[in-house]
Formats: sequence, structure tokens, C-alpha cells
Amino acid sequence: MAKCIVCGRRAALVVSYLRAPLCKEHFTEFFEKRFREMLERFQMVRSGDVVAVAVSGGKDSLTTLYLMKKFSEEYGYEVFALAIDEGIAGYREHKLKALFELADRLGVEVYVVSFKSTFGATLDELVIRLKEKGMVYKPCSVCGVFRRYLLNIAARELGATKIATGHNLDDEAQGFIMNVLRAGVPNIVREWPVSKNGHPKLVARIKPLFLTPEKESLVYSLIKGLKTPFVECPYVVYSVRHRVRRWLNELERNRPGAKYAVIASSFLYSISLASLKDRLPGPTTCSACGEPSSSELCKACEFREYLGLSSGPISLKPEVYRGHKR
Amino acid sequence: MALVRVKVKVFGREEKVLEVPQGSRVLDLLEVLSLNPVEVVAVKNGEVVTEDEEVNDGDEIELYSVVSGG
Repeated sequence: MAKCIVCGRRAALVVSYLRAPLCKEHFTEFFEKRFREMLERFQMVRSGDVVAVAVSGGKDSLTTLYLMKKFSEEYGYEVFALAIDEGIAGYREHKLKALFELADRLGVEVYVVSFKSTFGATLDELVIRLKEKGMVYKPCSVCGVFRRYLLNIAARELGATKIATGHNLDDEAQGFIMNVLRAGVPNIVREWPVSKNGHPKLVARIKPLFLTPEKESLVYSLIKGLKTPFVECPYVVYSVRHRVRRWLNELERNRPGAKYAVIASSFLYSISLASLKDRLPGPTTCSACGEPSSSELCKACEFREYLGLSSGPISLKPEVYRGHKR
Repeated sequence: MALVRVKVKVFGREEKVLEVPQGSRVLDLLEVLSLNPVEVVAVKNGEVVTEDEEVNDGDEIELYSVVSGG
């Protein structure tokens, strides 16, 4: 039985890249300290901020909500939870239930925006259309674009100054590898724990778990009783990310710390190509919906057109929210 | 070599009873199940445990998947 290197009690986890077994108390301390250091070192929040925590109901976003709420008084910001219900039957309703339970426990307001009430179709219905069209676009691509789109609009309408997401070290390492595979240099250069707004309608994003391995996030959520159901998105099989994740985890098993090495490389790219960042075109405004975009027509409007959905500016009706509008 | 019987709940989906040599650890169970320890967290009697935790006859181990889509 591994013993905690600090107190000698039974360890809950061996932090493999440090070769350090830690008991649940000292692991919690280690985990929370890193979270606070991220908030401070990357100047993620300041007094008076209103932070919308983007919550899917999975362990990472529940952990982010829990800790953002925990430190809110100390740093002087407000927190609410924002969820996007894309409409995956047998999956999302269970994840949302976990979110509502935690939000009740923490006394945090929750707002939900659904694909159905905004676009008139659930993701399940959109996947049928994608299949009819030969699955040129994967469900994850459409879902990801629409989620980010609605998160930004809803957070802004609700008065948020920041959006906090639960992206962890694994997500970021996978993202870097995927960008390398497609030679996506602009995305590599832009990837950072804090994203600047760069457009008046774009809410700045923060990722406090950016340097937290996914396994540690799960251990923390189990220790803290942040329960999330055993359900998996049925469309995960279509995802390229899924294969990259398996490959990176095999690598991590044989070379503990491999994911940190990947992220260190990503940081080095970003820093050494900083001059390129200034020459990259900043976000412009979508000619169809008026939202931030990297081209004349934003990706969400491109998908809306492709899938035969309504076009034009998005108006989120108050009834799409659960709870009270700020 | 004496064997011990351990009940393993895998990701809330299935329950398996494994017979492994006495002195086996959680890591050995993961190997039998072809699981990568980077992708799994084990809970024994309600407590999160490390992969080198020894398993005993009659133990119930719950396995949680690190890999889950958002």
C-alpha cells in the first residue's frame, strides 16, 4: 500500500510524474493550490468579474464550478452556471441532473440553453440529417461549433465578463496534437489558458484546469462527492480526438509526464511565434448573424445553412433559461 | 497458489467476479481487464485507492473511467 509522502497515511493517488503518493487530504491541498495558482498566474479573474462557468455535468466542469464558487468570495467575483442542452437522448438529461444537484448544494444559479429552442432541432435530429448528407461533417464538429456559439451569446446576454470552462491538461494536449496533425499553426499560437476577447461581442475565456491531468480531476471529484453519472456520449466513436486520447494515454503510461511535455511544447510554440500572433487576422463579424467570426460567414451560420436551419441573428428567449435571468 | 475472489464493477456498466492469486493488486485486475491505469480510478470500500492496493477475498472494487466525453 502506497503511503502519502507528506503524512504517511494511505495514499489515494500516486502523482506519477512527481513519483509522489498523496493521501486524500494532501492531494486535495495540492489540487486546489494549483487551481488558485492558475487563477493568479494567468490573471484569470479580478474583483467585480461575473463568471459564467460552462457546465456539461461531467467531472471536469463540475469540479470547475465547485472551485470557482469556492474561491469567489476571496477573489471578489460572482459565479453562475451555464449549460447547453444539445439534445442527446439518454445522455444529456442525466448529466444535467448532476449539474442541478451540485448547483443546489452550492447555491449557484443555472441557466440552460437548448439547441431545440434555439435552432428548432436537437443534435440527435441533426445527426440524422448529417447521415442523409453522407456524414461529411462529424457530429462532434457541429455540436462543438454550436455549443461555443451559444455559450458566448448566452454568457454575454446574462452579463458575464468571463466564461470558465473545464478543459484539462488531457484536452489541451489532445488539441495540440490534433492541430499539429492538420498543421493548424494559427490555432496552436492562439491556444492559452486565457483567451483574449478581441471582439466586442466575444466573452473572454478562462481554463483553470488547463494544467490539471484528467485523472486527477476524476480523483478530486470522487473525493469531493461531485457525482456524475456513468453515461457516455454516443457520438464519441466518430471523434478523431478519441483516438488521439487513447494514444496519448498509452504514451503517458510508459512515460509519466508525457502530456506535460506536449503542453510545454505547445507553450514554446505559442511564445516563440508570438510575433506571428499579431499578424494573424483578428475576429471579424459574421455577415449573417452579427456574431464574432474568423471569416465573412461564421462556422455556426455555415452549419445552419448546410443543415437547413433558420438563419440570421440569434435571440435567446428568457424561457430557454432555467432559473432567473440576471 | 491460493486464489481470491474479487467483485469488480466496471464503469457502472457491468459487474465481474475475478479470481486472482493472493497478493494481487488493483493493477493486476486492470491488466486482466486490459485497462490502462492512466484511464481508470479504483475505489475500494468507498475510498479512492492507488493501483498498488492489495485486493483481498470478498473485496468489492468500483472502477471509474477517466475517459468520458463532456
